[in-house]
Amino acid sequence: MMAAMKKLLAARHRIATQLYAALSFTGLVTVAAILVAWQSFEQIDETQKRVTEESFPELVSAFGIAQTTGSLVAAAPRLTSASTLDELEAVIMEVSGVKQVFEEQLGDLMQFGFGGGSGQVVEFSMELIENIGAIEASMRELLELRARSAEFRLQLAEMEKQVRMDLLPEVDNQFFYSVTGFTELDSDPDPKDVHLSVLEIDRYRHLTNLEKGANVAVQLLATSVIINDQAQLEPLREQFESAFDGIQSSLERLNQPEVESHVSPLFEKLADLGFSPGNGFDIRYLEIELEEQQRELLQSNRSIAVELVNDVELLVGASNESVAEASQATERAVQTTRTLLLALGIGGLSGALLIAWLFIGRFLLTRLESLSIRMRGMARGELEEAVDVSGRDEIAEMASALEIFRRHALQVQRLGLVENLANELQEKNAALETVLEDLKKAQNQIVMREKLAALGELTAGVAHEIKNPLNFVKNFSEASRELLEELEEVAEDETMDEEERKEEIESIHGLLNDNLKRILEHSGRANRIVHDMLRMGRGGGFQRTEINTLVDEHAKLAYHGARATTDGFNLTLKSEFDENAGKPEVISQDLGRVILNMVSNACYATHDKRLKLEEKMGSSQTGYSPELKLGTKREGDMIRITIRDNGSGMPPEVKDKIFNPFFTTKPTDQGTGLGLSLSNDIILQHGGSIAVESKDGEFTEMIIMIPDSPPKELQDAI
Amino acid sequence: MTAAKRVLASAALASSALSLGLSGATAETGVTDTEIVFGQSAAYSGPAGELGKGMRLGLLAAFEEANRAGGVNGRQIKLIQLDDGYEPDRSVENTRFLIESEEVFALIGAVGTPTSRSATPIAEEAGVPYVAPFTGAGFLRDHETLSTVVNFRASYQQEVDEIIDRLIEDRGITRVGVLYQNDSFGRTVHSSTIKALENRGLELVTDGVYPRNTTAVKTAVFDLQLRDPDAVIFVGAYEPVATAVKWASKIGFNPVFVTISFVGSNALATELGPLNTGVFVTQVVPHFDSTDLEAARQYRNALDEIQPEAPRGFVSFEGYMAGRMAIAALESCGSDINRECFLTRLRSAEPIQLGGMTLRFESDDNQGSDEVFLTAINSRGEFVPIRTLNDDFSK
Repeated sequence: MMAAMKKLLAARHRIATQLYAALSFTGLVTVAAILVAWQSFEQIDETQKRVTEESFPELVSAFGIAQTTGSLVAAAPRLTSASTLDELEAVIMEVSGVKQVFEEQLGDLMQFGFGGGSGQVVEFSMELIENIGAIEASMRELLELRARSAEFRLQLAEMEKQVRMDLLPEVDNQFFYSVTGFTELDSDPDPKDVHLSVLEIDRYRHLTNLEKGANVAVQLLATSVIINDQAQLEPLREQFESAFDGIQSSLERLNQPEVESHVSPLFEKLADLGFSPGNGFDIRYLEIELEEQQRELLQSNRSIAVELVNDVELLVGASNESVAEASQATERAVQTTRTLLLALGIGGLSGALLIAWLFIGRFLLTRLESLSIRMRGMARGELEEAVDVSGRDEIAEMASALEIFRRHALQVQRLGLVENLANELQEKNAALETVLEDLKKAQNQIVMREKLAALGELTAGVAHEIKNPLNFVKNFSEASRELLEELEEVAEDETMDEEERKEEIESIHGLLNDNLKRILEHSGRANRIVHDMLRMGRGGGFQRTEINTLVDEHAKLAYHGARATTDGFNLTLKSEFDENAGKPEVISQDLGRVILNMVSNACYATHDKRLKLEEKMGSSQTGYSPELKLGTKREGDMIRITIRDNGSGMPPEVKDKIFNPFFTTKPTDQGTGLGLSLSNDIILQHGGSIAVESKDGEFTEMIIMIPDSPPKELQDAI
Repeated sequence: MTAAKRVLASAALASSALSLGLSGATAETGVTDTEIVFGQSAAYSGPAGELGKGMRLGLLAAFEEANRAGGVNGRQIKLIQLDDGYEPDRSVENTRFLIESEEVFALIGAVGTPTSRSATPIAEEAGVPYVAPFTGAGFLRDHETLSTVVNFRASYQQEVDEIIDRLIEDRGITRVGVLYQNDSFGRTVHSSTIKALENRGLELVTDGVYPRNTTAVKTAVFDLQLRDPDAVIFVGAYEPVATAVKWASKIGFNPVFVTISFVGSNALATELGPLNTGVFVTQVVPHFDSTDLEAARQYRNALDEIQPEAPRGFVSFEGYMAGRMAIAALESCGSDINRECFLTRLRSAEPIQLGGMTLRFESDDNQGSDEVFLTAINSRGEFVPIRTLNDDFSK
């Protein structure tokens, strides 16, 4: 499991993985875009469906209603303006088509169930249809009436002509006969008493009355046709009756059967026009009534239309609103889609650009180019420079392959170069050997200098050691010479008895013996010091050596050396030696040098600290008492030697470097910087180790661990 | 504007556009590649029926003459005729029918003043030429208000002026009476007479009125006789005029009888029969039997071509000349015949020569001929062209 995870994690650095990831990302973006677009189209489709299935049909049907209402309302006057029955039937056919459409639309409207408004619309529409039905019916009636009215008018015109053509010649004839007695062109006149009689004049009067009455009656009937007020018809009828009454009276009194028979059909017809059922007045009365009714219906239609149009307008408004809402929703969806697609597009594009620019351009191509440059370089033979194989992807693999190739190529190249190189190397080796020789010499010189320095320290210590016993020897020798002079005085002094002499001589003898013993002791000591010094200078191999003595002696040598060379130096030397420390196998001269070096350093550190303190405090009363503790301890097969001072100590950065050759904190003329370096070499030569504990300004403790007996190989290495 | 209101508005617009479309499509009406259609509403029946028949005959003679000659620019002229019986209401009906249903190019040869008076407003409104009505009424010569009316003949005023001049100059008669029918024709001539007399410092002595389209003229004759004028101008159709002349003679009333062109000369002569006195008639065309006049010869030939047995007469000669006038105007249009061109020709100052007769129009003159010709009916019922009332016409 963990391995798989790690593999996966590692794979993330691979180009393929990254490319697949980038492609997947782009794919995901595309899929997201498609999904968003899909979603949006769904939404648009939804709203469009709403528009198409709800709002649009609503709108269409409302609009249709409005339109058809207009057509219906417009059709009504066409109905009323029809002048023949055929025309009317044609218009009715048309209107019934419109009516059917209207009813269908009404059905649609009711089906779509427009809120509250539709109820009223339906009501108005029904009324409108009913009205139009009523108009159709009344129009049929009216047209029939009009046909009759037209017929009536024709009859009336005919009547007028008949009166003119039948009655007027009678009047003309009667008048002419009355005044001239002539009746025919081809006959003679009647006697005057006949033609100019009361009878003839009365006849003329009645004929004139008939003519005038007929004209009046015709005019009254004609007037009735143009009257538009039903109320005015009755007075006309009244006048017509009066006129006809006069006609009848005159007709009765005419007493002229010929003329009567000629003109009576005319008056019968006139009576028919004015009195019969369905006479002119009745026709006109009904006409006016129907026209009035139609006007009302038309008016009502217009009002209904206005109401209807208003209501439909509301419906249309409502539909429009819902369409507008749907449109807005669509617009929003489109906007959202656009924004999202734009965002995704920008995202995808930027991603692609980033991939192209960062990954492919910068990362892949740059690296591939650098690889290519390297390859071309290698082709030119530039094989020395290693190929950068950083990274964990395929290019890195290519690079490392190239590196391997480079190395092989390099080897091949080098094989070719071996001879040259061998020669060069020999030359160089020769030069190097010379340099090495010089270096060795220099190193020897440096080591010699160190040794000499150590010898200087040693010599100072030795001189001091020797000086004491020599002083004792000198002092005891002088005291012995005085004792000898005293003995001589005693021997020559006569004043003294023998006894006394003897006693005196014996006392001086004793003192002399003591002095001699002491001279012997001190001179022996000096001898031993010199012997030791000689042994030191002589070097040597591993020997069992009393370690406590070795440490003590060399510490003292160092201490005295310091005292001898440094003004005002003082130190309390304490030691804590383990009696069981025993005699490990050491190169005593080398180990002594180590102790010497370390104690010298300790002395220097304490002195340095004191000087610094004094300088700081401006007084020698610093309260600081320099102290050096020496110690040994057997720990199994190992012996521990500790040298601890309370001097200036070391900061950690110094502590880390103290074993480096030529490292020193001392002024340049006071140290070589090789002391501890050599010491370390020496202890390592003993198979031991040196540890350092120190605190800046407080203390330094050197801990040397050496085995009781060094490993065999180290002994052999000597 | 809401959707519904917009629908109503557009419906209104559509209907008005439709009506505009109807009135606008008159450009080449009545003219096809092969035909030019004229319409005539006139009296072919009733007391003035002979006038319509005469006019129709003359027109047909002229049109057939032209058609025989290949038509006008290859188009045959067709005449559609409708009888109005000299009744204005029927004239209106016919005129509408000819314009709207028959879609004639022009109306021609209407008969009568009351009928023309009713028909001209319709023709004027429709922009249809109303050519050569058989009437001399003054209102048809009102060039300012009428744009489609073109007259061939002299006016009644011109005829009456000629009559009065002749009466005064030839006979020294100053006492003149008028017998007229009680319609616009009668009244027009009545007032023309009064005007003519006034112009000569005279007054009308008396007048008699009879109901139009009747022969009830005896009362009017009696009325005239009461004042005993020396001359009576009869204004009416041939039948009542003949009746009146006969009754006047019968009762011993014998003034100089004069009548005007409208009377329908042949019919009048027929109605009058043998008379012991002459009747003078003014004409607006020369005598149809004239041998010097090219137009008269052409008329006779044309008439012979279509109806050799038909009696020749002034009315049909006028009809023929009216037809010739229309043909001349059509020919001036070339192949692109339209009403505007047609009417423009009949208002232009360039004279139209028709076989010796010269028609002169002006922009302010819609009457082609100003000539009045005096004729007399002799005892044999023949018309004789005369120069003065004293000429001997008995032969």
